[in-house]
Amino acid sequence: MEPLCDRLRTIFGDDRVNVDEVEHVLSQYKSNEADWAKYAMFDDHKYTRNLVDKGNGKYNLMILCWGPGMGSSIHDHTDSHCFVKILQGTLLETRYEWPEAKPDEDASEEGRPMAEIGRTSYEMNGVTYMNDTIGLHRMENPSHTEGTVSLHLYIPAFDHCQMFDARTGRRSTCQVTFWSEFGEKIDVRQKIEERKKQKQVVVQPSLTS
Amino acid sequence: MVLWAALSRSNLSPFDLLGVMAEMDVSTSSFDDAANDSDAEADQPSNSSVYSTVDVSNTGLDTIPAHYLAESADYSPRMVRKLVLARNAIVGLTNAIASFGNLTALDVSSNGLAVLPDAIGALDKLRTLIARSNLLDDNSFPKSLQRLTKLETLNLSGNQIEQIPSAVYDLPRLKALYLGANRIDSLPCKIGTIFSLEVLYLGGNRLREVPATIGRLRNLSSLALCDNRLETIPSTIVELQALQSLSLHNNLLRTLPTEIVKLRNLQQLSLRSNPLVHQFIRDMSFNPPALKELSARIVKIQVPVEINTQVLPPSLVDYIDTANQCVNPKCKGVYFEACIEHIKFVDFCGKYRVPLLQYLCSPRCSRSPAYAYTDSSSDSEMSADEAGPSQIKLKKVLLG
Repeated sequence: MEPLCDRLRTIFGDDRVNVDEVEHVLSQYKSNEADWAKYAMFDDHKYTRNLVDKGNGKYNLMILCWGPGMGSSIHDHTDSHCFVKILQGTLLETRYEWPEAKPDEDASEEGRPMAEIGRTSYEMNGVTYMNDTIGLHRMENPSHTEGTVSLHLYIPAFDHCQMFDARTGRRSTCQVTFWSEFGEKIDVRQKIEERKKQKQVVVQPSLTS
Repeated sequence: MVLWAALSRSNLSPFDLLGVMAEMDVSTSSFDDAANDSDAEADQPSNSSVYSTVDVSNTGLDTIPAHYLAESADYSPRMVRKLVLARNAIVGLTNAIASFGNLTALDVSSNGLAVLPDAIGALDKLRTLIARSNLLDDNSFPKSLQRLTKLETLNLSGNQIEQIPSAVYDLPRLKALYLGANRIDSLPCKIGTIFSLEVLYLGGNRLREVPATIGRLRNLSSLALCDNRLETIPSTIVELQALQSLSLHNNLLRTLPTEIVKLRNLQQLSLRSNPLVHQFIRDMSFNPPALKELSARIVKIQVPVEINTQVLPPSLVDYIDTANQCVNPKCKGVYFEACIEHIKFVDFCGKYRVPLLQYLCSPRCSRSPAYAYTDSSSDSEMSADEAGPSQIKLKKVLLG
C-alpha cells in the first residue's frame, strides 16, 4: 500500500485532479493480499469502511469489505470524485438518474420510482470512476460465497452524503463513519459524539450502507 | 526447520502464511480465534506456534503433501492448528486428514470435493470448517460430523446441497451456518432447534417460505434470506429480538408482517427487488362472512360472557372464544374466519414507506373504525395494540 499511497500523494500535490491519470495509477497496481490484509475487516451485518490514508487532508483512501450479499443504499458523492478498484471478489454497480425536484415531504405524495441507467460488474483489479454529474449508484456484492474487498479513493474527503429510496426518490442525509482507521478498529459511537461536539448539528442516523 | 524447507519446495514464500485471515471472509475472526484459543487443549507446547498455520492454498495440489503428514524431529501434524487447502485440485480428501488431531480450523474451499471423508469426525477440536465452492450434495456428509461438538462455524456455501445436512442439528455450539448459493428449496421445522445459532446465511437458494419455527432462534443476530423465492415471511420473526441484520432483497415479497417493527435491534434491512405494493390502499379479495360469524361478532362485542355460557351450547361458546381483534386500534370489532387483509404503509423513522400486512374486521375499517369505542369503553379484553406500528420506530433502518 505504501508505494501506492506515495504515488497518490504526489499526483494530488497540486490540488488538480486528472481523472485519467488517477485511473491509470490505480489500474497499474495489481492486487496483492499481503498489502491490504491488515485493513480487510469484515462484519457480519454490514459492509465496513476501513481508512487507509488521508493524503494530508486532500483525500480519503479506504478499503471496503463486503460480506456475501451485502450492498449499499443508493447514494451520491457530495460533489467529490470517487474512484473504486476491486482487490478481491466482484462488485456490482447499479447506476440511477437523479430523481426530479425534491419530492413533496407530504405524507400523501408517494414520489416516483428512480430510473435505472445501467449495471456493470467489476472483477478483481477493475477500476471505475463516479461523480455526481454522472448520477447516483448502488454498490453490492452479488456473490453468496465470497467476500469482496474494494479500494476507494474520494477527493476531496467527505463525512456525509445523501441516500435515496429507489421506490420514491426520497432522499436523506447520513453521516459516513469508519469501521477502522489505519488498521485499528474504532468506536463508532465515540466518533459520532466527537463530531457532534465539533459541529453541534443534529446527528442523522449513520450511513452504514 | 522442516516446515520452511517444505514450503520452499512447493514454491511458496513466507508471505503465503499471511493473508489467511482475508481468505476467510465473514468467518475471519473465528478462524483466527480458533487457533489462538486452542493451545490449552492441544497436547503440544504452545511454542510450536511457528508451525501452527499451514497454508498451501492455490499451489496446484491434488492431495495433501506427504511431508505434512509425516512425523519428524521438528514437526508433527499434531502441531498444526489451522490448515488451509483452499483453491487446489484435491478431489478426494483422504482419511489422512485425521493425522491433524489438534486442528481447530480447516479450509478446503474450491477443490472440487464431492464428499467429506468419514475421518473428518476425528478432528474433534475443530471450531471452524470451511468447504465453500465444492461439489458437495446431500450424500456428501458423513455421520461422523456429529463428533465435531466444538464446531462453531460451518461454511458450505456454493455447493449443490438441497437439504440442511442432518449432522448440523447435533452440533451444540454452532454459531454461524453459511449455506449460500446452494439448492435448498425448503427448511424443516427442525431449523428452530439450532438454538446456538447467531448467524444464518441462506441467500441464493430456492426457498418459497420459511417455517414459523425460525422464531425459536433467540440468539440469531444475522439472517440472510436474499435471492430466494419467498412470498411471505412468518410473523414469528418478531421473536428474533436479537436480530440486527435481515436481508430480504430479491424475493417475491408483496408485504411484510406488521410485527417486523417490533424488532428493536434491527439496524440493517434490505428489501430491494421485491414486488412490494406501491399503492397506498389495496383491498384484497374479501369473502363475505357466514351468518354464524356475523352473529358471533355482535355477540362477542355486546353480550357479556356469563350470559353466553348460560344460554349457548358449549361448541358456540368455544367458537366465540376464538375471536381475533381487529388490528385497527380505534376499532373494537372482531373477526373469526373472514377478515380483510389490508396493506398499510408505515414510515420507518420518517424516511421510507414499507407495506405491512394487517387484518381488519371489514373493508371500511381501513378509514374509520367499523366498531368505534364509545367514551366509556374500557373493556380490558379489547386492549387495543398500544404499541402499534405508528408508535414503535426502528432506529437506523436502511432500506435498499
